[in-house]
Amino acid sequence: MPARYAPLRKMSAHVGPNMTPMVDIVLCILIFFMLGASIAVPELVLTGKTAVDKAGLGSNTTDAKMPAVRMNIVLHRQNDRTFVTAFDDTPLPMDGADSPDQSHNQVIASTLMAKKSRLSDDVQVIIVPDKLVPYQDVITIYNDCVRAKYQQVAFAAAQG
Amino acid sequence: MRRRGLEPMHDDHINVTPLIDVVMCLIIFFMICGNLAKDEGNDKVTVPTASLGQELNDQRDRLIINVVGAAQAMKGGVIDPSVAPQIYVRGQEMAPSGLAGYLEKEKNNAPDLKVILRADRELAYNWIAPILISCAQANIKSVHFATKDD
Repeated sequence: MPARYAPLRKMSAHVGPNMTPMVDIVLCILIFFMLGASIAVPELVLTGKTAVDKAGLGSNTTDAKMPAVRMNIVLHRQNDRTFVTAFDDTPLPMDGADSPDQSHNQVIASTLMAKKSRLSDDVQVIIVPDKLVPYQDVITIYNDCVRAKYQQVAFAAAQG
Repeated sequence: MRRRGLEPMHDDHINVTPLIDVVMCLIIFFMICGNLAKDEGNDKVTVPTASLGQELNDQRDRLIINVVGAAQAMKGGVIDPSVAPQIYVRGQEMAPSGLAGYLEKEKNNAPDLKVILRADRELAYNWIAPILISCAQANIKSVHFATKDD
């Protein structure tokens, strides 16, 4: 009597490389890039439609329309400190951006705001920095002008 | 007589090929975006602080000018105005004299060009002024100043 064999069990054939480790790694990389993209803080900007007065006041300006009323904020450097002369007032010293005491900068900001309340809206403020004034101080004054809601702020930039 | 057809094949594994395709595309996308961002920004620049800085919503037609030079410009805490900073636009170093011409070309290609100036906070203004003049010469009205929160 012939022997009876049990039927072969159906085997699932998987042909090809095992993709599981690769999928694991690829998903890890994807999560890394996605988190990196979301953590990256977008940079902030002080927006401006700035005109440049190439030679201080009065000459060789750009074609940006300059209103009749123009006032200067002069920044000059003395003994490693920046002084601000806003609208021909007495010079005020500036605090460094990293200094914990910002009282001088607050005085300057409040002075600019007080001036704005007495000026018409079409006044153009020209920031006139000395060539040794740090860029940070220029931006601090520009920030104060934006806070005081001066509509038109330009930078004096003497050539040469 | 009834014929037995082939038994359907059952694979126990999920087909991951489309998943891998999509994931690979996403990875390439993020890698390219990361490289573009690296080209445009410059991690050597320490931008100034300002309390009223805001995010630029409209990112179209923007051009970032990086001005690097604090390490060279600082000598014992005193700014040395004689040391020129380096200007980078789209990852390429650029001479200050060539900037106006470059900006004019860019302005012709994109009339609504916005310039974002990323300059080191310690730099003296005499290195910033020529860049502003170049923007004015190229008739670029929209100049923004990159800042960070104080």
